[in-house]
Amino acid sequence: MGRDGVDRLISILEDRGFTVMGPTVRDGAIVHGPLRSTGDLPIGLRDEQGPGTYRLFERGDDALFGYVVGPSSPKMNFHPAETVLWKGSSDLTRADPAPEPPRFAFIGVRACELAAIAIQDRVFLGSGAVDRIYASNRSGSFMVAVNCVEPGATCFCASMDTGPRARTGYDLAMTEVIGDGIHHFVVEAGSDIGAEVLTELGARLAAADEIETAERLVGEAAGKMGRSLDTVGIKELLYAAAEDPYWEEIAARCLTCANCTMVCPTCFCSTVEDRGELANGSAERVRKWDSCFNFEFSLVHGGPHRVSPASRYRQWMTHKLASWYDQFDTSGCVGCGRCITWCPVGIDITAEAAAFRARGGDRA
Amino acid sequence: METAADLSLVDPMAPVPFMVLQRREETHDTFTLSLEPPEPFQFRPGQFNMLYPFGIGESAISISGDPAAPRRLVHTIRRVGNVTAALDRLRPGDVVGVRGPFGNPWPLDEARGGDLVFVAGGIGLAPLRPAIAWAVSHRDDYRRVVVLIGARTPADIVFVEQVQEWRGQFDLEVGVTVDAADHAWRGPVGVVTSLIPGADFEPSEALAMICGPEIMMRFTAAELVKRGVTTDRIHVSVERNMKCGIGFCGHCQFGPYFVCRDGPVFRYDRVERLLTVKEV
Amino acid sequence: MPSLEEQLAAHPFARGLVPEQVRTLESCIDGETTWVTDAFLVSADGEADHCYLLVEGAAVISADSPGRGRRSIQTIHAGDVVGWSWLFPPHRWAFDATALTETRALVLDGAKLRFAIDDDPAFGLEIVRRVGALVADRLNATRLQLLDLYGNRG
Repeated sequence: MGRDGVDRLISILEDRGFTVMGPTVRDGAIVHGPLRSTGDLPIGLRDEQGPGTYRLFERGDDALFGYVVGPSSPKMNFHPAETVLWKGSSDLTRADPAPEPPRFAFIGVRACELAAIAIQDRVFLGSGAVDRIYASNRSGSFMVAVNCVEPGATCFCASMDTGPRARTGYDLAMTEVIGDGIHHFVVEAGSDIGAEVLTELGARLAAADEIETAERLVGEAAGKMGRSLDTVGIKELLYAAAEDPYWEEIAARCLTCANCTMVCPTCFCSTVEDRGELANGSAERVRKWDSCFNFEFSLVHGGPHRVSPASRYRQWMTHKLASWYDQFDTSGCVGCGRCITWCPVGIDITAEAAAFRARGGDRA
Repeated sequence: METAADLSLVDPMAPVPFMVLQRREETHDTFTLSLEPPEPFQFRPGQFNMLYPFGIGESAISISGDPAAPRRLVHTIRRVGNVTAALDRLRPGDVVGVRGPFGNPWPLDEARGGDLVFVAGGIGLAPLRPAIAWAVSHRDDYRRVVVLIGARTPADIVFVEQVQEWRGQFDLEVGVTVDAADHAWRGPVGVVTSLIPGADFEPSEALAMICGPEIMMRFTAAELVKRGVTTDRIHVSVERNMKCGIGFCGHCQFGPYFVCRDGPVFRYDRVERLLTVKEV
Repeated sequence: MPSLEEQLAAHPFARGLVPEQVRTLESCIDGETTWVTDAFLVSADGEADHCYLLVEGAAVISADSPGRGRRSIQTIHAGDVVGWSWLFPPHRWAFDATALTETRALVLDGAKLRFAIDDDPAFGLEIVRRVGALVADRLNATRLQLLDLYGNRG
């Protein structure tokens, strides 16, 4: 189908009651926002990313999805940066009305983001207790994936085995093909509701060579990753490196600004803020994103457990690439590269993992 | 995504109002609150609750009462911050929010048939008290039961009357030592580890439960190991910052563990290394 | 009542000595002493001419300071040793030790011990090792007390 097909898709999803979200341009970056038509998409733009840098440029074509991931992710909707957990009066009578659960449809979700959602599903839905806020936001959501054909300079999803092709967790998956006089989308369904929507779209059946071209483009993308991370034995490697003085070297660069954790699509930590309303004597407990880089994060009476920046960076990286396996039976990293791009000093998790590997070799 | 059904269950993040029945001063900085649960409150020794003085914040506090008394929920609290200070201002008739119980209990079942050794440092006696109460009321399940208590000074010993009562029991060995005392104190002076060499238990058949600051637990475990207790038969209760109690907020991470969910009681051999790495 | 020699051989301080060394230690015995509750085993600044191997009861090491009263520092139980000042010049006690209950100890003569240590290096090494271990134990215990082990758990 063509660009008009994507517009039809947006209206079909709206008609089905979804709040349609997708990539939009805001403040010089591509972030998730409401979509009413393809006109809201960052048409003809590409993002140039590197450690600590992010810029948008004109591509010179009309590509709808000719960029990779920006600082935001569907996490912002499923696990919002701020949510009211409880509101009530001094006798603890609850006063927050149960909100109508939203139904989100995301267009242009990348394979790494689907993987990140699957990881947060495990954290909030699959590890014992169920997080009501996440479950309510996540339930009934509709995912339109876009397979990546032009990975970015900080991408390493191929290393983390999460992309560039969307494998599961999508309702529809599209590959955008642009060539000599060609601009179309090859679409496949990944769920029953996806198949229904696809039928409703009424797109023509893709020809064998069209499918083949799309497949080839995605296949080639795997070899064009800007970065790579060797995951073999990474957990054991980092556990063994717990007391490596090299953490201090990273910490000498790290500002503990927490940017990496804010842009990370799997980071899930939160704190609770208590707010009182003097006027009517009620109070609310608000859950807000928190970060293991924050000084107060590990605070117990007497002081925080992790005082040094080195211990905080170690916590983050070791959690992401090692203890996450113990906790959730998966890596906590999907290879999206956001933490590299949005680090103000350009600390690169792939480079640091390689540094520990080289040092581990020395130790052995 | 089919999860809507789960939401009909109780919201684990919503504080439930409990009424304060009694407040008593334990030491100069520690007090005990007895709360009336809206319905009988079942817990296992070693578990904790999140206590919420309205509008101020939450604090994770171990349950320090008798598990056989589900109509009276007891918490012993040290004034260390603004939340515990607000809890300190509660008086009988006031309401406090409670979420819980959370966490893994002391392995009292596993200890059956052998000796039980409890070692408490300071207010670390609070999370152990339900376990000791349980051992006392199931005395036939165990051989020797030893309770060793260390406090900074005689004035810092919590549950004094209860400790006296335990001391009066013939089938319970209770040792209390303090770091510093004036001459009126007739008991031992020295840290709690100094009571271990002389305590009457069979190391190969003992199960030890330690609660106190991490440094105290490390030295105590080392002394128990010296006596011949293996590290897989030593259990400790670890303390970390907690916001949720159910493994979502990430604050209590301790290496691969979430203390709220995988602890707070851990088998020592599983955390021994973590306890020695700085700033984990 | 076992003889003083039997009591000495059974005391942990003599554990691990070869028979000949036990005999040397026996030659240093200067009787036994019993203290009633609160009696002083040793007094700070007094001459440290004896070493006490506690056999029964318990003693507490303490210090008296004007205005602050008597502060107890550490408790010593049967099987332990009171004092090492007899080994090191100027052979004066640094702290007080009083009996917590009725307490009995074997008394070793400090001067005889010092002579035996110099006279028989193998014996001397064994004794100095024991005193070293004693000092190390007490130092560790004191360090733990300094750490305020129970101070920060809420």
